[in-house]
Amino acid sequence: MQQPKATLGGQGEGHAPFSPPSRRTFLRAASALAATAALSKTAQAAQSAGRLPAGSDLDPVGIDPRLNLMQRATFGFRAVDWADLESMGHAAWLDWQLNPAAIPDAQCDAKLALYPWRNDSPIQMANHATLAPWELLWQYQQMRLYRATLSKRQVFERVVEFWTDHFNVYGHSESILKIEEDRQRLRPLALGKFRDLLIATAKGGCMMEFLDNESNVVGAPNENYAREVMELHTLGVTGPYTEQDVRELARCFTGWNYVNLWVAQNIGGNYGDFRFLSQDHDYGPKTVLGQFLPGTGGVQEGENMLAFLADHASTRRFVCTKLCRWFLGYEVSQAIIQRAENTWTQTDGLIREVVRTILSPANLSAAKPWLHPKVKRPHQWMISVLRSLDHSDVDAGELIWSSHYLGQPEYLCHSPQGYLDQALPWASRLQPRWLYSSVLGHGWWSSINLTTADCRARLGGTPKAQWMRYMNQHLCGGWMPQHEANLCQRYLDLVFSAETDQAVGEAFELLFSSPSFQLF
Amino acid sequence: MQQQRTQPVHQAWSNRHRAFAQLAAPSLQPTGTRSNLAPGQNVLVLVFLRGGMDGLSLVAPYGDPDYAAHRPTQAIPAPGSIGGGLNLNGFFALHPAAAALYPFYGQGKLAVVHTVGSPDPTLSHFDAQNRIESAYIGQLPPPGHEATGWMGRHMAALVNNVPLRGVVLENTITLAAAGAPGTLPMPDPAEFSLSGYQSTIGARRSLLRMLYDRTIPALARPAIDTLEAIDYVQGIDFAGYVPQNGAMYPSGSDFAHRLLRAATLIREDVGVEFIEIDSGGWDDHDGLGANVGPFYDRVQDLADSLAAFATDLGTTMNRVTVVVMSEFGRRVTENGSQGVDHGRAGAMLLLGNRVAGGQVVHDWQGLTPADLDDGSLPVRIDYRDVLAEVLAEQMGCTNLGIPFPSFAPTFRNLIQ
Repeated sequence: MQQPKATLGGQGEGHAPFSPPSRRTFLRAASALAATAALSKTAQAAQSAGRLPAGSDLDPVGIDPRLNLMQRATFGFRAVDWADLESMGHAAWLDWQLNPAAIPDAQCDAKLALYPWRNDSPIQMANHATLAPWELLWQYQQMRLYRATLSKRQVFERVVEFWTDHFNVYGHSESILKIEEDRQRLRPLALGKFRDLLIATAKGGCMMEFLDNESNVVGAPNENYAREVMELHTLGVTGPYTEQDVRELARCFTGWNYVNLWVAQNIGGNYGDFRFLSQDHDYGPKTVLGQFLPGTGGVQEGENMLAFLADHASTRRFVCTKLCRWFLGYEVSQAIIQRAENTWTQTDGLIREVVRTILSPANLSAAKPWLHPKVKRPHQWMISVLRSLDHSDVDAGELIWSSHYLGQPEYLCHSPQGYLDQALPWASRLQPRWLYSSVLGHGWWSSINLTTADCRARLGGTPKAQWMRYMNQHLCGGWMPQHEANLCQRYLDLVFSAETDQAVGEAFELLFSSPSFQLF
Repeated sequence: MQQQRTQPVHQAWSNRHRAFAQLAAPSLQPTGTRSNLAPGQNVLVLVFLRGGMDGLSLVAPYGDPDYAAHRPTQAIPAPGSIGGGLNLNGFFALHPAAAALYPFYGQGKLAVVHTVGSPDPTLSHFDAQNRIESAYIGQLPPPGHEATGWMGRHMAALVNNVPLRGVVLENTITLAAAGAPGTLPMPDPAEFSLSGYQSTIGARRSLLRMLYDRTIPALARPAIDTLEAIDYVQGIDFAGYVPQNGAMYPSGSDFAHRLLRAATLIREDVGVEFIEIDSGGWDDHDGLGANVGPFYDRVQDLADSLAAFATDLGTTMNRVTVVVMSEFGRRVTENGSQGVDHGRAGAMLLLGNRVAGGQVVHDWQGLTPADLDDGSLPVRIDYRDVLAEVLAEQMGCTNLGIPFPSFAPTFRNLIQ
């Protein structure tokens, strides 16, 4: 394992070039800023209505409609990706994105090549000469950072992220199987049919280990998986099932097991593969969700029940609603959800087409992301910073510790529910974002290897008086509302008389710590 | 579900974390003096054991004639046996790994509540936690209260100008605390700061305040709380805190480390009235183990840490009550994996000098099939009875209908 560096900034003993406090600077800036802030009353009135202010200084007319797609369907604005979207237009870009295998991805692939074990089989990983399973997962977390930041297949990666939470397994439940789950099931099937994805996760060692189905045997059923598959993966917690259904469904999955490491090494089979142990299966009759099962089906009994669950109307509604919220906003109209459900019905649950329906121009404009924004989760915030800067020369191993501190380490959610797609849990954890923002532009966030000179280069030689306008345009696509940009620019005008390194660093701090950069 | 912790990762993270704090520290200068707005504030420390803690192991009903038969491999042996529990009242025994807490029971500072839980029948972790923490049970939250918790509503109803009223020692806020003014998640309050150049730190803080004043309320409120809390905790010398009364917090324990931070906040007497610390991994579907295994280790960590905390605070525990709870207990009969599946009633612990300790409050009726509800211990004491008494008797709650809507609690004489 690489040793963590001694300090955040790589500044030796932590002697960052702090200048002495200046009370006068502070007071002058504060009073002038307060005057600027008081300019718009309309905005404050709008705020109390629970929305971003829609006053004259915030007219959404200024936002390119395609920016809504960029914000909601990718990990954040990145100039080179924006150029693709601008040149192709909404429909063609989405079409291109929904066939990810055909998108060349050289820049991302080059970073993934840093992990030469990445195509090893699970048993090869288990036998890795130098890396322990937890270190492999740590490196796989790093690969995820690179994919999210650099991959041209942004919609695909956002859909994979959705399934990672939907079918969440805590990464260190069994580290190697977690990697295998992502490589062999979630990623290949992310845009395929929901039924296939559900059955694949059910039969993988990863889920089996996490939700204890490997110890679910006749006479002593373990109902953990049976409960979660209905509550979290298919019908939803308000779905039409009872405790009796949980118990009966658990009996269907008795004998479902997997080739664990010991079996793979001593008996045979591929580590992590499905294994049906007939002697552990309950062959008695069962009734699940009103379906009578004579008990003779063996392994097919569970498979049939999974297909039944996948095709259930409650599942269709539950998963479509979640997907709509994922892409369109916390509150999505029933009409939009119904459109997604219609596509699901017409395509036999083909996720690619459901996503295409959800991300239609009409749905995005109805969702009004500029008025009803979502709060970025910490992973998305960090990735969007890197994408805004178009910067990937990071020390990814170190950067995982930032994910921990920000509150959302990749693949390490303990709850089977996954990291929540809600504002509340993340909005109350702004301090680490502000902290990283406050050091980034000064070159003190060592794990991203970014210098003040790098930041200065991204200002394109613009004079200081235009910095916020320039950054908003070129690093955010114009997403920052005018009143925020004005206030930040006013700060730069008042506090700095020259384009010093400190001024550059703080300009980037303002951008990334601003309210609008927490929203998407 | 196994929730193993991978020690090297956490150790490295911990080191990393410390390095981080060292860099951030020089940039800080408190902008205001932290005045003692609420000296002697009573404090509720909530320890939520996530996953459904097995109350029948933590507090074993060894005196029940059917207990051992339900748990052929997992029963806690009777007191006096090898690996036996610690006798509480001749019927219940404390888990042997909780030995560090046993003296507090004898001193009348630790009380146990058994057959306790939520009347909501769900056996889903997430549903059960959501309902227990929201305390809207058998009813939908009114509009605008979907994301509030019992403690959050209680705190919102009390006028208190202390900037930092609650601390959740987690990466994210919990539902119980949601809606509480001045309450934030801080995995480690010692590192709750901003950085950058000292010359502008005040101006940047002011700018953040102005920017966030005008964003969506869901973001504005926590942002303002965060800014105020940053100012507030900067004056506290967490690193220099020395535990008192010979208290020994278990080394290397994340749970103990957070309790140490809680003790620091309480001793500093800065007006914090609520602290929550969660502990995960209590979903023992397999490998429960009476005298060895992960459950044993978790109970030991819990008990050793809480004992250190109470010892450290000493007479300060006059104004502190610790409540330990979980979302539900486990099935009475063990499953085929030497574990226990989701059940209903479980156990709660209360620790503090005002706790009417040395007693097990329960409504035990036996473990025969007729006594059980679908294989589970029925809930015969509502968890809200316990929390309501603490809020009313110690936390200044005068309208229990706010934290616990449409509920008439029965006080169990748990607080003196």
